[in-house]
Amino acid sequence: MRRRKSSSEAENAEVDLTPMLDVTFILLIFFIVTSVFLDEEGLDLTPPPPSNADSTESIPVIQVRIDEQNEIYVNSRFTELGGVRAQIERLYAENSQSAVMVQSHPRARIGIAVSIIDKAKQAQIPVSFTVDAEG
Amino acid sequence: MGRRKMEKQEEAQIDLTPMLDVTFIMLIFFIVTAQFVKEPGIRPVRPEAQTAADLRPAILVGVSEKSEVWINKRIVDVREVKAVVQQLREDNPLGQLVIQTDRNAEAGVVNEVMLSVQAAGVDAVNISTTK
Repeated sequence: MRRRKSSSEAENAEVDLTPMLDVTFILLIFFIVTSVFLDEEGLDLTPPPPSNADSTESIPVIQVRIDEQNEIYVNSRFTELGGVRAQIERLYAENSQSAVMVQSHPRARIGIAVSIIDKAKQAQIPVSFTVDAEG
Repeated sequence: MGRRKMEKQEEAQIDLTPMLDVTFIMLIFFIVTAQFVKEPGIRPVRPEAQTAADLRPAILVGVSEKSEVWINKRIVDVREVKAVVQQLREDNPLGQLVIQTDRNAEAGVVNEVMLSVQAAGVDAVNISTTK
């Protein structure tokens, strides 16, 4: 008599966790399915904060222009994409205060500009990016 | 005899508590890491770059090969980018924004997008690249 009482009482005290487990599983599956792990990598093209015209003029600029035909001119001299890094590094060695300014025609391809910016960053030369006004 | 059978049945029950613990930990992990990214709906061929930094964007703006701007699986006019980005940032004001542009997209369009994104209050403009 005594044994039955104690064992049945102990059983009653246990909470059935199965429904809770079910709910938790459903939530878990929902979050697994909806979670997206984006591992993007990218270049920061944030333009520097605007400063007075005087201070920008004093910085010698290595101008890299990309025209409508996607041709590259480093300081008005035609350059192949492969030779751009050597050119800007040479010009930077002449004056270590200078910065690269990539100036693209609006209808030029963005890939070329991005690749030149990347080359300048590889050479650890400060770089800025502008696009000509249309027309 | 009958009583002993009942004891056997009790032994057959599996204790689910450790499993529940593990499930809870996984659930909490996925809740914490979940961020609902607004994908542009296009997969552009990204420009290549070696110096790229890792980013965890919350808002993505796509620019296709034909220089169409895609946000949240819709084509958006360049002039409307600012308003759309502002609207998306209300849900996630601290989320990073990344522009996924095709390498053959027009520089003018990408520049317009960059300017309107900044006008919408995003401080850092990043362009998605590949190695």
